[in-house]
Amino acid sequence: MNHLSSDQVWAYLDNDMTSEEQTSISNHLLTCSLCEQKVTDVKETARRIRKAFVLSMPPSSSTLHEQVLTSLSGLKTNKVHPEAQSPRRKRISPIVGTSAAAVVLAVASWSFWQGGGSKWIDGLSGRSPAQMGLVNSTAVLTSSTSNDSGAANTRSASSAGGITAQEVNGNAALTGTTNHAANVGNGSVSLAEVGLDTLTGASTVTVTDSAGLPVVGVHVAYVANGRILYSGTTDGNGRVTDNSLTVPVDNLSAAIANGSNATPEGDVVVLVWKTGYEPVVSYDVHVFASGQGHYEQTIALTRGNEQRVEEIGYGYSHDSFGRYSSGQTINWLGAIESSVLSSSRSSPSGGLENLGDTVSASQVAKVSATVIDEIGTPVSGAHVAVVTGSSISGWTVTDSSGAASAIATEGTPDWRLLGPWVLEGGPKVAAIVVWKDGYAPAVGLYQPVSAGTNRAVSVTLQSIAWRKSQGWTNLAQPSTIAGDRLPTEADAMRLFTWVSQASQ
Amino acid sequence: MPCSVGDCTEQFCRYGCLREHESAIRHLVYHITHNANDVDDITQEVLLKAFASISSYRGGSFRAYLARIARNHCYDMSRRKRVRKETSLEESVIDYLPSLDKGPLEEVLDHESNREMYGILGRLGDEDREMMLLRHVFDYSYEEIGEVFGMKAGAIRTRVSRARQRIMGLVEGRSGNESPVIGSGLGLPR
Repeated sequence: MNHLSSDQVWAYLDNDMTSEEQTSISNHLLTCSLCEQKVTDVKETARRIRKAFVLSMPPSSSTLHEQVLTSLSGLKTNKVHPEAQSPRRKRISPIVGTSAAAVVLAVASWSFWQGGGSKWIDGLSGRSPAQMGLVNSTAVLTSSTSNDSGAANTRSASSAGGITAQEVNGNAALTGTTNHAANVGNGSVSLAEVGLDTLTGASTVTVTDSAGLPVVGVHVAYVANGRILYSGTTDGNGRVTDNSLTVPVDNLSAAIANGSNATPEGDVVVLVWKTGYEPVVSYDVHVFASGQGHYEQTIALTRGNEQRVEEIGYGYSHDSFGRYSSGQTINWLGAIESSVLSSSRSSPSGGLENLGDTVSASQVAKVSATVIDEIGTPVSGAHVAVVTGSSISGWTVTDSSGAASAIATEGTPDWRLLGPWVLEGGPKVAAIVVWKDGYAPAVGLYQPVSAGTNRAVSVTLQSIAWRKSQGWTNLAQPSTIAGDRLPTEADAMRLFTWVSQASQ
Repeated sequence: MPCSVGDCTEQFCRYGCLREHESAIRHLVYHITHNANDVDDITQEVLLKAFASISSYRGGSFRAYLARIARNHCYDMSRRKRVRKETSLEESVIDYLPSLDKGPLEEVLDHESNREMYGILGRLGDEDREMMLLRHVFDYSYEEIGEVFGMKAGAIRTRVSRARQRIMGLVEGRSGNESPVIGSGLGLPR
């Protein structure tokens, strides 16, 4: 092939090409030192760009974070009664104060760093992971005994909308314990084997047109985990209400929340359509979070071609990681770390062996990572683990250029998009966890993976020293590996087709 | 407790770690306004605005939503008050990180290299520079950057590609000036 243009080199380093193109370029680089040098030069330029931006920042005031917290806490909350709400009025979402679950998470020990380089896991009660029943066994993350104010219990008390939390209980492990058993490090657990916890509450969806006027006769459906939970049509006020909507909690959320004191949320996909308008698919809609028992959303339809799903992924979405509290994730990360470190595997790229002998290489998806620090310097010796559901598909350690080679995984079905097509190889995801002593860990959820391809993830680990210089007090707070994928148009279209036909 | 003040994190981090958002917005605000004195205050204002009007967050990337608010806020402000300082960017670069194992010569060369690159970045258009920041420091996807600027991902790709070409051209252009830090063939340790 011809020598690479600099655009190609940038796209290659950006992972912004198809895997065929990527492979073809990798192969070319093996034999072409000219292009290899070009790649090195571009990498260096990229590094200098990043460095120039980062190092030119003035130091942060050590009180900025506190000030931000204070001003956010002072936000007025207006929980608007649905009847009183006109389509145009902006509601301020009750994220502050109204819910009884103003959770104070007390992870008992944040003093990981006093010992200098000591492990960051299990700050809670001094129990080892083995005592927590995690390592190489069928186990459940047992509940933490942190000193919070029992906030999780408030959700069974009088929360805003009369939520009934079935099987979700703060201090015990989520009920149906055996359903959540995970063979940590011993292979994936299929969704079919894992029962899902559920939450129940009320919901109101209001549909307007682009002028803000209510639209009658609009179909509204809720979908989760491959099932249509509810389907209805809007009334004269453009409204659909269900007083008892039961939604599942996604299995990743359950894995993370399992055994800690904060409760996960329900996730649904909301679909809205009517002839003559462009349908809306709203995924990752959080419901019944933090004790709010009534989910409300207003969706605007635009007139147009119903063969095209216009808004994909619009709803109360999130950057996948944010909704899990520090305490929950720290527990979860601790379990992963200890499992990896105590594994008797000598080969660091152990992964395929988890999947059994019958899985052929072409069915396996791969994940690889490039790890850098906050300036852009590659980090070697960082652990990179790929997690699906509650188990670890495989793990490895970054080399001197900060690269972690392909870790095999089957992925887990992207439950946000489950439908009748999932058996034919629907979308799959995996989580990725990266850590090294001296740095805050990093987590990416819902990284899309597909059989036969290698997903390349770029990871930034923030060093503890840098965080200190930036005035962080929360030094071990995990950082986010971005890349929460939006569903593809094809997936959204399939989802919509399935649901609209099933609702006839 | 995760944060040192109040009962904070759980609520405000539901859209992602609040500290990460603060950091990203701080960077963006500074590189728009170049005003070190006000950057923390403006960051606070942006976050307050974002959370106060959270009902207008219709999904997609939360950090793109934040960045959009940050840009609008900064540009509104400069239109009203005309406070935007036109500092000479090359001169305003200061290395804030403690130097690690560098000898004095390395440190000087490194410093020069940073200043030079920062000067080059200053010669990009404002929007291009902001896009480069989001892409190179915070790994925003092209789709996310598109959400921030109200453009399609393809258009962003083109802009970023052109900015990169421009940067490389300026870097090479200067290598005739005996600056010792240009190019990778000099064997300088990283």
